[in-house]
Amino acid sequence: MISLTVNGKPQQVDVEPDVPLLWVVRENLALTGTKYGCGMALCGACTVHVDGQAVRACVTPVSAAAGKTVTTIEGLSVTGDHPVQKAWMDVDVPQCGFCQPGQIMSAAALLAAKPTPTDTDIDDAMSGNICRCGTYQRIRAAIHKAAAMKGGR
Amino acid sequence: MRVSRRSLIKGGLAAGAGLAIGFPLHLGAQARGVFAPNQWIQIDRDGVVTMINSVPEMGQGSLTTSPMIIADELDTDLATMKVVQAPANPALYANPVTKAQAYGGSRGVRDHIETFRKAAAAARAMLKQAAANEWGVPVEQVETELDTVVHTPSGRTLRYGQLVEKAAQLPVPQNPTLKTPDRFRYIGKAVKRRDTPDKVTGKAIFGMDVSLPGMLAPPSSAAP
Repeated sequence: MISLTVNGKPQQVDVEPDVPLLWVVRENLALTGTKYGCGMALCGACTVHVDGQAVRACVTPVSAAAGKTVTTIEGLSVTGDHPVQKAWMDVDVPQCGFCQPGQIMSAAALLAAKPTPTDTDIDDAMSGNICRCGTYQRIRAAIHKAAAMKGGR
Repeated sequence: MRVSRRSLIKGGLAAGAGLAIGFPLHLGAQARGVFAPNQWIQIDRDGVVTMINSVPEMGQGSLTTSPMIIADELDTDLATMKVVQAPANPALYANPVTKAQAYGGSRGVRDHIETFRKAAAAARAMLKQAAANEWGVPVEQVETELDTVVHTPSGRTLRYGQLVEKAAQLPVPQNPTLKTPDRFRYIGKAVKRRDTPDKVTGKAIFGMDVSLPGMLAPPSSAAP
């Protein structure tokens, strides 16, 4: 039995310690907003926060999240009004949308660490999140917008 | 008219021959108090317009563009319009050009715009006729303005929702007059995507997110 907090709720899951956190989130906890993309930490679709840090849930064993706080796209905000989500809606970032939960979680972690990132900061922080639709220009614009919202500008 | 399997097949053939206006539906939920002039449009007594969208959303924006076409030709408010995904049913929802319920190649708007415009224009013509009958005036004297039929000389109005029963009894025109593009409110303009809110909150359901009763997810276990 492994105990962890997911989106503010204490959870106990009966799984092997090496089961990827992604599987626990999607299968055991039925939180399907976090996506499986490559399974090898190459694409970023599975990005969640563990104790505030962006991690690739597909290669993170659930044991590494034991006793810690996990946030998924469903828990980023109660009503979808996190500045990153609001900016994403303003800019209409997604096309197919499959990679976007991961993109948004990476962007939220970036802004928590760097409230006013430059284009270079954004490119560095977001380079592990691949979007096959090619929404990168809008992602960058939305991150700047979210930074402005957070700063009250 | 009741839709039987046979009439659907016949209807499908008629659509193939160029009468791509669709078939009036009187099935289940929409039987009473709903005006459903064809398989894409339903208007209920409260005036709620629902589009049954036969072009699936795969990132290309069909959840947004298909209702834009209907809203313009029907003269309804896009902001209050509901959109639901059409079920798998090629007899009703096949692409009118390729004749298959299969999608790709940027064919959504290109292949459906004429059919959707005609379907919505037919609905609008029936609503106008229903209002003209109600008032006892020639249909040439009535116009539409965003979910409302207006009798231009007297200024009288009826909401679409007030006309659903009467409109449902009228024949579906096969060659309704289409609007000229200068009267489009939405087509050609940037409109916010309908799918964005669900896609930024993790609510959007993709193929791998579907869960059915008793469904198992098998993981592979690699040799050490």
